[in-house]
Amino acid sequence: MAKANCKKVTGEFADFLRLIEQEAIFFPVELIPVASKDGTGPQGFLALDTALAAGRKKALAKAVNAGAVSHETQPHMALPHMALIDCQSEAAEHENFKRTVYAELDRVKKSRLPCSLLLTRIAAAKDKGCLGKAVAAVKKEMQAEAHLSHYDNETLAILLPGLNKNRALIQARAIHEIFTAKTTARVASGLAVCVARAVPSSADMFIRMAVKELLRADHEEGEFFYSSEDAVEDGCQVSVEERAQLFSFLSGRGKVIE
Amino acid sequence: MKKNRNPQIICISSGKGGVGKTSFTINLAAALSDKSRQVLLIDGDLGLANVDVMLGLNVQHNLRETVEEGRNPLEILVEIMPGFFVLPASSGVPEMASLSYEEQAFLTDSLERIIGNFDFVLVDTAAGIGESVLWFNDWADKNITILSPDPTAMTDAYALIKILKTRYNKKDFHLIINNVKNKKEGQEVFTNMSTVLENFLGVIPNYQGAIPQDSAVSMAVRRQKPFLTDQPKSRASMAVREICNKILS
Repeated sequence: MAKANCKKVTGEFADFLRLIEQEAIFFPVELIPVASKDGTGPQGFLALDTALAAGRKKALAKAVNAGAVSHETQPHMALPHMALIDCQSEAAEHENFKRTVYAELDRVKKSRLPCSLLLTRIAAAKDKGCLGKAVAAVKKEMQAEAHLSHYDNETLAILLPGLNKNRALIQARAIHEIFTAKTTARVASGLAVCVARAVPSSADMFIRMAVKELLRADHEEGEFFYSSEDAVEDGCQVSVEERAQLFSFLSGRGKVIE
Repeated sequence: MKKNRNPQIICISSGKGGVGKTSFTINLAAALSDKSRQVLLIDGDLGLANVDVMLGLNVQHNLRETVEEGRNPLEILVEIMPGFFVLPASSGVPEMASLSYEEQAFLTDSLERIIGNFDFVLVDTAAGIGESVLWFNDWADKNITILSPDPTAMTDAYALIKILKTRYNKKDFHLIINNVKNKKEGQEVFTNMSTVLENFLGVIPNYQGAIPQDSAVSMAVRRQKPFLTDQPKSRASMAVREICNKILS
């Protein structure tokens, strides 16, 4: 995030914002000003998860100040625009990234929707300007729910929630292609897909799956590798054998066509 | 309405559209309320609702307002007959057909706040295997799959059960065969489905019954009334009453 966008705030309020912002790395929130009763200025801020349903946001806002919340009339102050911490490369720190991965794995268990992790290494990415342009281009390609962060100095991590293996592969390859086109350095990518039936027991394990694929891409001929629990994810498709048996009683049409 | 009951949530799905889910669900709700039970019918086809259409309602408020504005579902309830209430949904709203995970969770929370008023909560889901179909089924205590004796309906019903078993670890499935020539045909279709489900998925389904082909059904749809009240002595009405008794037993 450009430092020009950073708003200088000092004192206890700054500490408070900093605290919220640290949490917002894992759970993006928007701050809604709570108006004072005489309307002279905000009494405080209500921090709400950006992913919340609109109905829930309104209900919460209503509960906080019985209608005094200027939810609709004042612009939301999205936290990224109030950035106080160093966010030079628009990415969270490694430890924070692990917590985000953990939160996403938890979401896979609840929503039953898959999640993929793409690690892309841009070797000797010294030209930060060039990398910044590549990241900007990639952000345009990414789905709204995707989460981009730095994994290490040369590696970017992108979480792609909700996409099945095939869609994640298409998205990941598109991202890989953008990095390849926008930088002169060698680009290698590894993708791991997690499905609800086989959620890794820890964030570390899921990250290791992606790292393993990245290392394969680094050391082997290709530039892009992936791993997925194919059998589990595709296990719902009705097979020809199942169809054959379903129709067998109708009129002898249940032959398997090779 | 008495509060703090412990309702049974029954989800009615089919996979294929046009199999008779909505018609069956409305009439099951009517039959249950006829037995002095408090019944809530939720139109789970959130983006293309038609429970209200089949009941001749012209509603002003629906579940879209709960999701988007936080409106209490109790304010949306429509009483059809004593003990039979409907929560209508919106029609022609693609956003409602693909709610985000958070919106789904919010809707479920909102519904859970009011279902304590009822003995039975019936969810008439959309056709297909979309997300709303799957999470309503996951939410339910009992999953009823309705199918007719044609290969497409059977395949789609099987596919739906396979997903619910594989991804959601659902084990209890109840089958209703609609639009059968006679009881024997219903039993045959069930036996065949049961064999395939057991062989490939290890699922042993329960037979809830069959509903015969009956002109009373289409006539009631055109009159926008439940056939149970429109033609209470029709074969279809008798069949739904039998299924209702089975559910109550």
